[in-house]
Amino acid sequence: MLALNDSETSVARGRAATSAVITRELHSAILNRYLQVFCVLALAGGIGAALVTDTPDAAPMLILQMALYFVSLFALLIGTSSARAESQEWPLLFAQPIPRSAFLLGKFVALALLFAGLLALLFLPTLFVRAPGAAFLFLYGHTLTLAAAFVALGLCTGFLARDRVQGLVLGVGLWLLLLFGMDMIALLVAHSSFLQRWPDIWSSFLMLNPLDAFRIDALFALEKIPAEAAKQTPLTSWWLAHTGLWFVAISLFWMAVLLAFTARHLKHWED
Amino acid sequence: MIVAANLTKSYGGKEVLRGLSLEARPGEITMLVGENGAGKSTTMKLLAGLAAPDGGSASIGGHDLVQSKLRAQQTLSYLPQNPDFHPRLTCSGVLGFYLRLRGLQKARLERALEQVGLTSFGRERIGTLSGGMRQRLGIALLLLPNTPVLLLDEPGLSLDPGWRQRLQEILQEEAARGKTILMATHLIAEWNGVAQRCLLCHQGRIEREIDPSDLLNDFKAGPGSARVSRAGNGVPPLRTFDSARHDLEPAEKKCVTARTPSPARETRALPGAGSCLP
Repeated sequence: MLALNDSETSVARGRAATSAVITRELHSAILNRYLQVFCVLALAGGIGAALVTDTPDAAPMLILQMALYFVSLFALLIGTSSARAESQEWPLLFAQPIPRSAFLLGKFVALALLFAGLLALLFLPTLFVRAPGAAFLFLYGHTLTLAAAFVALGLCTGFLARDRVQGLVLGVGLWLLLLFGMDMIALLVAHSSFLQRWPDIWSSFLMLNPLDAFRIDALFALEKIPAEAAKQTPLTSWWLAHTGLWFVAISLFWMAVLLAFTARHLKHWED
Repeated sequence: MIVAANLTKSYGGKEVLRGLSLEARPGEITMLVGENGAGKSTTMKLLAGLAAPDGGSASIGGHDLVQSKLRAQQTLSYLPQNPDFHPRLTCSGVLGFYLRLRGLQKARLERALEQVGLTSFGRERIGTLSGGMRQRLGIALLLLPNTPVLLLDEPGLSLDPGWRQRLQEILQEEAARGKTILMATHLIAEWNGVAQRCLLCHQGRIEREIDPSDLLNDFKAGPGSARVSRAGNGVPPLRTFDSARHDLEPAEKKCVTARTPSPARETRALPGAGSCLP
């Protein structure tokens, strides 16, 4: 009975704490420099995309590029910055009767909510010049999912690092690895006889990277690349038939893994 | 009530606590004194739930700090050595956040600010506050949840004499209300006569209990040195320094210097000692 009460109390405290952290994070984010720069650049990019009228897919394609390079990077920077923002306050915070994971979860939810709103700056201007198609709405949803995954990565590097600079260096290093490094590795090893015999291993290497999963999904959705061109193996066939589903699944998987790992690290953090 | 038994803690192979045991009782201010590196802050961090002991046990208000950490933390309020806060938030924002975190009523916020003289600074951002004001905000946070146990690590370091005095009054009032207060400090002179009990921490253990009303004489700035002149009957025999732990060395022809936890008391008892110079 006591154990049940303890667990109920813990859950109730966790909820109250998460809600308090979300509110605080939303308040303090207004003065976050990365977020301010993101807002300006997102609005500029959104207006730029709205002005491109060469083809119907020109605006979504431009937004896709911005999501890949700019949204993912700023989500990571904002996550890291948020994790380090009150590192001096941790002795006070972690002496409070709340699970430390609630603190992490509150930050993640707050930043994801912020991105849900701020991405409108990137997407809304286009809606003034053309009607939103299903692909455009999917692109918004997937860009938000990508942002959330990189917020989780940013929080992870921020909490794991000893200071802000180390967190940023680690975060940007991982971002570069995911954006270019893994593709370069894949290209380098593509001609090996082993991978020629087992091409699914090569495909799964790309599938596990949320940025590649996002890129492939968006390209197939927007450019409508003929699927038969890539139907080489059963795995790639399945992937290309379910690119959207796979992207969401792998992003959620990365978020869960990163948050669980960070929560474990925080649980054992000692002053 | 705070009870710690045989606490041990090492950092990077260095043993900081070596079987520390203590008890702090309700209605009393218990002071933990000792030189830098004696293990005071580590003890406070373990008791606040910020670090886990390698061995031994500790309980706050009857709740074991390892088995029921959240319940133990619910009963205590902790003021770290240099409290710092989110630089982008205001004083009211910080207090409001901690109120929500503990599920407390917002009505306490104004009173907490008033208690530490920060009412007119409620809308000021933390980044603009001086070190002393941040310390006062820390005191407001300490008192905010009205918990039965208060832990303070080196309080008053950045406070001016007036606010240090006020902090002592506040703690005495809280103790009179039945709270258990444990405080670590090395500023003996500032806290003379404030506590009901005083424990001397040395090399990761509680060495002994000392007289809290005569701290300056009983414990001169921690286990330190006493210079005893060779006046009178000459150099006092070394064995007279019963609890001298370190080397007794001739400083000059007329003096010897001994490191002892209570130089004044021990040298007073020396036959033939000319004088004790702190």
